[in-house]
Amino acid sequence: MQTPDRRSFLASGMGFAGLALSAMLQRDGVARADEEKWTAPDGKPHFSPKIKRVIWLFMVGGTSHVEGFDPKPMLDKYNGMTIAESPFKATLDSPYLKKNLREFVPGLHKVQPKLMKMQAGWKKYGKSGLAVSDWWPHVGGIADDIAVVRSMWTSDNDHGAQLQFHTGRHALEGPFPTIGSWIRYGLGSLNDDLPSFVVLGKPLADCCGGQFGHGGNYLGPEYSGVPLLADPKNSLPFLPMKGQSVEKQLEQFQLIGKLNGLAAEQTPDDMNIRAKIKSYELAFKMQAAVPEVMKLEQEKADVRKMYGLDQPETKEFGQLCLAARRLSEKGVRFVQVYHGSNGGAGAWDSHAEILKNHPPLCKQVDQPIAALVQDLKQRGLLDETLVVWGSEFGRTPGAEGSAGRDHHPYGFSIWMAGGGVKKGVVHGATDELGFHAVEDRHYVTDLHATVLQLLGLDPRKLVLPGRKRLEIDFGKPMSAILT
Amino acid sequence: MSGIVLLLIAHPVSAAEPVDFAKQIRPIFEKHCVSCHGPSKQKAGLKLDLGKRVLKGSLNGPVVVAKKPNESKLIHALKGEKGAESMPPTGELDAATIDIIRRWIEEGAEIPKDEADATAKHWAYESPKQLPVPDGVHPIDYFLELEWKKRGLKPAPLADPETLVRRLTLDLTGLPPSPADVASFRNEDTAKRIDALLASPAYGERWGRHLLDIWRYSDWYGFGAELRNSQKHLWNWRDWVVESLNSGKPYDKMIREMLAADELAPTDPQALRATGYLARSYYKFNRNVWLDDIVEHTGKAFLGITLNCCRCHDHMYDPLAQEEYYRFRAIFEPHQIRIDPVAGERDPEKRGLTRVFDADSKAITYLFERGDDKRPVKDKPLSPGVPAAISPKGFTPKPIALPADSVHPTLRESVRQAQIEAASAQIKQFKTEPRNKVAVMQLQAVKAKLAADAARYATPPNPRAADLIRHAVGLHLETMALAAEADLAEAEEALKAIKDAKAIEAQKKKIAELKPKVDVARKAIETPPADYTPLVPNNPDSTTGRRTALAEWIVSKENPLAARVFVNHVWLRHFGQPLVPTVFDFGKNGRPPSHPELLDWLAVEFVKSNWDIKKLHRLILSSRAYRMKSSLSGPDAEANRKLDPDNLMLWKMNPRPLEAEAIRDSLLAVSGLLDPTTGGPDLDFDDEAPKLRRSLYYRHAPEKVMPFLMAFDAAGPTECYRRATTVVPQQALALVNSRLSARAAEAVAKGLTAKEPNAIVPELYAKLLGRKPSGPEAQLCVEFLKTNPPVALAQALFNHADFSTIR
Repeated sequence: MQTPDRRSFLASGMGFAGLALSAMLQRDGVARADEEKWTAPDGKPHFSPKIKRVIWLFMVGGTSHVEGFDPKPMLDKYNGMTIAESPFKATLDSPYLKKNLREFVPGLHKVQPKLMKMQAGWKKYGKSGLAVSDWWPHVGGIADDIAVVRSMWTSDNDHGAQLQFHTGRHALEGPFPTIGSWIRYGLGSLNDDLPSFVVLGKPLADCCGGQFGHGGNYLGPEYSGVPLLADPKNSLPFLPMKGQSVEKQLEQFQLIGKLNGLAAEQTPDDMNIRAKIKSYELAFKMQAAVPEVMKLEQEKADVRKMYGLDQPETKEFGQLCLAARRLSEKGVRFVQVYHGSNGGAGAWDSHAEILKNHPPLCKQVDQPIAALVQDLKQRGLLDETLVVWGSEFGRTPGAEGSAGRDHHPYGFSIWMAGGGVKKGVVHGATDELGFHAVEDRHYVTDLHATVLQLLGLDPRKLVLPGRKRLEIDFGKPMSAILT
Repeated sequence: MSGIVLLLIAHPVSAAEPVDFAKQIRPIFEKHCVSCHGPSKQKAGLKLDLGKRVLKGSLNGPVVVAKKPNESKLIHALKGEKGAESMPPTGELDAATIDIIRRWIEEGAEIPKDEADATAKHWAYESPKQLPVPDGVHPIDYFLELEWKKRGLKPAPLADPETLVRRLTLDLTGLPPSPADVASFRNEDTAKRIDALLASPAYGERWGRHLLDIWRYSDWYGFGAELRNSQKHLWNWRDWVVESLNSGKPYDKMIREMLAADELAPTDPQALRATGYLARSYYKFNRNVWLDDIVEHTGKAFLGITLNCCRCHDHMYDPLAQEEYYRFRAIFEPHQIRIDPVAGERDPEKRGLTRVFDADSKAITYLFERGDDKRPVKDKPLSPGVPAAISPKGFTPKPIALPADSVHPTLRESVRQAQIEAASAQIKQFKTEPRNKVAVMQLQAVKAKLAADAARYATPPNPRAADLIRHAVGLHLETMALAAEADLAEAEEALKAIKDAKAIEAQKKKIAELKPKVDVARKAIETPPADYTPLVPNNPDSTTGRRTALAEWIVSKENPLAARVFVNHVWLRHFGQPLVPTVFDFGKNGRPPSHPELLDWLAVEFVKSNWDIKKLHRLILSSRAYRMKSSLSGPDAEANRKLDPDNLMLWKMNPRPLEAEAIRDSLLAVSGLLDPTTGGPDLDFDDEAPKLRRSLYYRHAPEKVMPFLMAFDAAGPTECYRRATTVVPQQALALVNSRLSARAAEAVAKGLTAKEPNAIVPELYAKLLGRKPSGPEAQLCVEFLKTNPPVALAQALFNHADFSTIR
């Protein structure tokens, strides 16, 4: 099945529903501002952007920062000692310990006092000399392309932090629009044949955000991420049947669009109908575009190998990363890729034996992630793309039980690579134990603000009448790492 | 639906006013202290959950000296000074927080007089009370109106009859009304129409599926053919749910049967199906996981409590202790699952009645330290119990003796028949000797065993029992001997046909082995054993009565939660939003009801009506609120939207997306493809069958949910207290490209009576959307028909928002 090009599509009347609807919404006051100044986003950046799109890699369950991108020799030195016995006793007196924490289940996750040495070795990589653990050798290999932020913090010490990482709000406050949905809301699409916010990998479990982790919430369902399968054999269920005429089906879709446009005029209260109209416009084009973009076998053998598609450990996440690149290349604004969702807290949640938990998981993602950055670079796409890597929190410098690490919201790392971001730099720092973020501290919305800044969006202009955004929602861009 | 909930934010602090204990101090204690000094734990005998208890102090005396913060131990502890143990142990509170407490003491440590009523008690743990409602006013409208008036909201006008009848019909049956159903409806017939819809078998199918969401129905699943979770034949329970709703079984009785039909109706196979609720939680590899699931979901589904939080520690928000979790588990500790034979089927894998029973009344429950099953507290076996804070009384388990025909299955006619049928079938199968005489003797042995069973298990036992047992043993041994001889004779016969030397050798060896077996079997007849192996294993002769006691406690008058939780679920499915947003958590960490008095009024009324579910529907559906329009424009609506954009106060009806099953079933209904057969084993998906069954009859288990239903947010089989409602392009493709939609469109087009576009369009609108097309709609459709066949229009209309929305 062929897709007619966009021009003929619009000319043929498919765009009718959208136009009629927006006119209607204005008339009926649904979209009228509470404040006189408010106008709906016009799909254009607020200022000159550095990048066009984002690939957001999220490790579900909490990835260790001290065995990741923030090695701490003091842990080796004081291994087995309690924090209070170590020279860093003051860590426990830090105001950050209580001030920033809002526990989902109070008292459940206590400070783990007994320091545990790093379970992985580390070394300096590249010209920049970035310190990276031995569990991430491939990402180490792209050290000169990435900017590590070691001073992230969040306020939930339980896995509701997964939702918080995406909404900026503590899970106890409920779901809010996610970073991807704000971008979808603020910026027009670069490719009308594909959703502009795509979700790859198994979504968060219900405990920790579920569908809300990529939801549009009060922006409406049309701003939620669209989950796609990176499976070349089954990328979309319900594809057109053989022999189906494209032109005839287009006529049908156009009729559906017009009829639902009329229905929307009658039912201004139905948030879903707006989303539905959009979803039909997209569905028609997607049914050809998605199988095409998921033809991972079209990639050259060396590229497939680079992503690890030839190895059982890396194949699954390699497919996701390769699909993310292909989607991104085609203009998808925001690709949110999950790794490690397991129906519960997430695979990375290593309370018992981190030495058994982390290495196989790192093995699954390390090579594909590095391949993604390198691949974007070799195609000249990295300058206009941002790759973000993160997890809901880090893991405690102290041992949980004999060999595990507990949840650690007080200080943890993320990294970025791409246009507008400095290369081979480290920003911010945790203390000697990797406990508190102490220099250039960043709450998760600072990451959102940074991404929005690069995309040319001002978060303060991303508002909806009647919906109050708090100061904390907006965050502050991490200007120190921006070029 | 996510378990994420809103927290009530503590009252802000103002420096000028005196410190208010309830608003400023109590939240601090609640947040930082009560997990160790509260209802579930009282370290050093100190409770900080209520002002009067704060003033009472610890085992060592008062911790607060009014007006003298520097002499108050509480302050010493908070500051970790003057030798006091620093509190809380997780780390010092910030200075500002300590300062508020200090100021409160300085100002005289005042506490509110009526504190117990105002703050300590959580609404959901108090019995619901029915406030009076003025005569002639519908209680629902009365309570909603109170809020509208308070907020200056104007209620929406009533929906037109076409919209209302479609709403009612979809809501109660999950199927759209036929054009005749719509045409015959007048607003004044509402009550009658509701009665008719409630009487339709489709009602039980629709609401049965709702309840199966909450009770997490799943057919068995596992790894390939290996069953790991849930059980075979669980559809029996599904059918029980549907039939119970249709027959008007009271909700309390449903709970009793699901938790304890094996104790309350041990010989009633119809009722026993209900215990599929418990069988569903079966997990092959870990009994702890299995029981944890039962505890968690029984708590959430029937009581709206998150008892699961107490597996590792006392509940952090609610007065539920870790020990109570394990006492609750002890209720289920003795139970196991078995598959009872059913008439006409001897292989329980193929068909049978999956039910629970208490297999081991002596099974012991221990608390697991920090929830770790490797650390049971063995010196303290726990008796069964229920959370006292919810209702301390009404749980009194007593062992129940089980009737003989439950203990000895062969006393049941159906079981006897199945045994005889199976043995007779052998005779038919083996028509030639030597096997025929084995089968004939086998049948005699079966009959003899049945006769002996009947005699020995009669009350009082028949004196002839001993003879009959001996006789049965004799026939059994004779059968064994004949079988051994037959084996030998067949082997010798086979030898004649073998030519190959090696094979001859092997066969001779086999014969040599069989010969002594004949001798052994013959010898056995001379020294017969005292008894025969039973045809069907016997079952325990009593049950602990624990689950019966639990059911009684859940539905007792003193239990404040069961009715509220259920009413809230029903409300959610009529209005598209619940009264308590956290439908499975009515505890302190859940969100408060939007209309507490209304919730309570309905809960009390529901119990008063003898838990009559259909009456509850009638009550809700007869309100004006239910009949309001869902979409409106104009200045009133605009003003309302500003005040309450999310319609939390229900000033209008909510338009609701149809659930996955209802969308598929609607396609079948309007096209005539629907096979209205009810009940039966879970079906394989087959879009090509001449007629298709309603969606709830197809296999539903993790990784096995029908793809069409998956696209529309079908219930997750492991947990679904509330459906997700996403709008994604995959849904459009399911309605445009699926084989199902194509078939339905063809059938609709075929059934058209109209020939001209001008007539076809209204006929399709009436059939598919239950209304007339508007002018512009008709114009668009007629235009479309100029270049497209009616089948394409029919399919387009499946994609009309009105097709998949309850307006």
